[in-house]
Amino acid sequence: MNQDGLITHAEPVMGTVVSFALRTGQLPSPDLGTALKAACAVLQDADAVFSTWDPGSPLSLLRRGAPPSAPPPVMAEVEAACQQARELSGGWFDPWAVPGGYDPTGLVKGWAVEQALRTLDQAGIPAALVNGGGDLAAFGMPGPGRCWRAGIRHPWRATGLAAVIEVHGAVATSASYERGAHLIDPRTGQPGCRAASATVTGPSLAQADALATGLAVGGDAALDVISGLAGYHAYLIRPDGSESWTPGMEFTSG
Amino acid sequence: MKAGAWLVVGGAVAGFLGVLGLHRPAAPGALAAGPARAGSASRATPAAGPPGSVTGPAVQYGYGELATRVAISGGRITGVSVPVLSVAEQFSQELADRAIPVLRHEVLAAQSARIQAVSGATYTSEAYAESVQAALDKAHFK
Amino acid sequence: MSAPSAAFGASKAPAGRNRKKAPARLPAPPPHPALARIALVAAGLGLGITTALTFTAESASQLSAPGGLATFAGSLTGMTGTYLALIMVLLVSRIPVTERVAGQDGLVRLHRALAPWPICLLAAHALFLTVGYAQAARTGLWHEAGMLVNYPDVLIATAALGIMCFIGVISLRTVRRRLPRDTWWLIHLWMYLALALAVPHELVLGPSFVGHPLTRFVWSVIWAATAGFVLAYRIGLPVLRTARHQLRVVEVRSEGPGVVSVILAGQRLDRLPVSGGQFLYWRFLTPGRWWRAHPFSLSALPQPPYLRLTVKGVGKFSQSLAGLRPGTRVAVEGPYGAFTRYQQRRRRAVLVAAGIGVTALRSLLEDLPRGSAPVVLLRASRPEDLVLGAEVRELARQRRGTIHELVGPRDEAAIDEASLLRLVPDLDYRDVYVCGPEGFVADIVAVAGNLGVPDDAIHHEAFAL
Repeated sequence: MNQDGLITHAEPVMGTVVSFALRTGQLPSPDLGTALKAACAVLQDADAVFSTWDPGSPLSLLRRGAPPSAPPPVMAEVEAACQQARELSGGWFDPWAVPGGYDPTGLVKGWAVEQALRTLDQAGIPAALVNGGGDLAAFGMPGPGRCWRAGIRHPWRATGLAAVIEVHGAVATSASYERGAHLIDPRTGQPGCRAASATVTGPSLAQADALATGLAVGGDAALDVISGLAGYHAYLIRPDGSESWTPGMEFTSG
Repeated sequence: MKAGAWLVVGGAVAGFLGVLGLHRPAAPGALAAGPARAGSASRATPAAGPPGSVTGPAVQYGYGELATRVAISGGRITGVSVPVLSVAEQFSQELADRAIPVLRHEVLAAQSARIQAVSGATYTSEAYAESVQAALDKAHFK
Repeated sequence: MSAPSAAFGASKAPAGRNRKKAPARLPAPPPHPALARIALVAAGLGLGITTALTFTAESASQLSAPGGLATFAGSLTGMTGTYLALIMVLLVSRIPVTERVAGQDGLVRLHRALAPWPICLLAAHALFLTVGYAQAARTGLWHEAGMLVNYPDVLIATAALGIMCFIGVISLRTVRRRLPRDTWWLIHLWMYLALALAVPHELVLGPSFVGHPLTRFVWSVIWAATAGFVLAYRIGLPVLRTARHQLRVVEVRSEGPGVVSVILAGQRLDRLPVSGGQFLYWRFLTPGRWWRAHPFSLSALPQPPYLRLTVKGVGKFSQSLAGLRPGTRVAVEGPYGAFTRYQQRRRRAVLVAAGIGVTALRSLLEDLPRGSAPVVLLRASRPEDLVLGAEVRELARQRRGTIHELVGPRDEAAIDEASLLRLVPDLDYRDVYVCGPEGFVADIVAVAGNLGVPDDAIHHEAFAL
């Protein structure tokens, strides 16, 4: 426990580290531990199904053209979410237009984090924020009268922030400064990225994750698409340092 | 000395082409077409440290290197230390900083922003260690 | 005649006839042209590698950023300029492998020819980087320059560049002629200081180095190798030789007007590898002379425990040698010189010398085997200028050689194509060795060339007075 009553936990999974911040309220410690364990199990299960590094995962088998006979039901759930995301993003997020076949990686992490968050909610945790390596979602209030706050990482200063926003639902950011040119432009099938940093906020982390990926690839064109979506907002930093955001995007001061 | 000159030229051409031929460029786009040399991210493979720990690869910030060691026990991060720190020269750091555009809502010190999380491109578990998120997690760590 | 001179007297029995009395001697190691060629290739390789590493450290995005192109040009000029500066140091580090093949004078000529390049490249380096950084930071050039020199490493490196440029200026022929040689030499030695001052800013600030371990490694090797060679061959080996041989002056005798022979005695001279025609740098350890080392040829092969050099008094220093006191200790560097019988390509040789050049000729002649039938041409303005004449005559006779003494003023007794061919009818079968003052050597080399003697059969050593 620390000064502001939050407990944190970091779980290495899915090739990144998922950070948990929980307000425990009146919950006794053992229940807290159980809830955390359950949430982490959700993440590990998702990793086992959707990992593209594990050649034996159901997704890898599917991509190799040898789909498992009894695919886990979550695969269908994710596929449906991907179809919805492709529509919402106007085609800038398209997991079917990448080399090697269907690759929902741009959405899976957000989706898995959302599931983990739901687990915590169902376990009775009053407030929690889960950050899946840069894509985060939260519910509740970290303290009386306070909101969860997140910083958006500065594209060129590793320890600086480009902006600070309040978290209402989900925040997802996509960029190339961590993993290099891994974003594929669905229109060309080649690596392409028009943003130094692309952030999307909204009610669903799975969708926000996908939309952020599409925004990073599509740049201003994708920004226009997202500004037409109810409930979702976007913030784009271009490689030359200029920025744009949708009208409803709100920043807080430091 | 004419033959000697040809030997030198031949050696120079061989050396030049040899290096170019053997060169494996860093991941393209790692620099997001940004200014000068700040933020270039080229990674080496992670090295092994004491058992149960992972030494992050020396991450490039253009002029300096930062390698941290994350102690992992039972799947939980139990400690972060910095065994190797060759920080960019003040000169180089200032040079890099001066070339970066200033963003409108920029907050330079994450500590003062009273945030609980950072949203950014997904970092690897190795890169997590030196991220601001790791510092936030550590501050609240149970 | 005292004992030491007798060791070098003309009446000494030739080597080979009376083996029991012939002193044991160590000839200079033969030159290995293959090794020298490998050194050339290595030098080229290093240049190619360091240049390529500058290219590989750049990315397209860095180049297109503001100031990117100028900064890259600055990196490139910095790398190549430094590399060439280190090559220049190596050229005059008296590394035996190269020295035996090219000779001191050949290496120094190359050193001088190369000199403008590193200086200009490094000056361009400073300029390009200032321009590049100014463009990146969107400030003016002078403002950027002012900012850069605030960093101590850069300030020191700027001073280093200043020293280099200063040395370059004073080495220009017109300036150098007006400076006393010793002053010029001392200032020139500051180049080591300049190089040392420049090292911190390279390894610490160069963007090509940070994050590029291969570049760091390659340059560390280059710097370490240069330092190693300088320490070993410029300083270490001479110190070792001096300590081992413990040379002292034992006698100074006059050989003719203004010409003296200095005879030294030392220990273990049978272990000093020297061939006829070579020279050493002599540092006479007296209060007025210890801080200069002057090159003089040996005027005879070592007769352990004795060495001999013969000097013509043309300047203050050489004139003062007549007053050397016996017992004076001497530090030496060398032996150096490619003017040896190893260079001989053809079956026979013709040796040509003028004035004090006869010293190198005399020791070279002594190194030629019996029956080699050399032709010796000695040129002097007056008969008394033919020093060591008796020894040369005797040595030539012992080798079934012929000797021609051409005495007289230049317009009467100079050697031209016709006279050379007359004196040496079988010139096509002989190597030409010529030593003496610069002008004389240049003339004879030209004459021999005009008569069809190929370049690799002409060997010369010019005495810069």
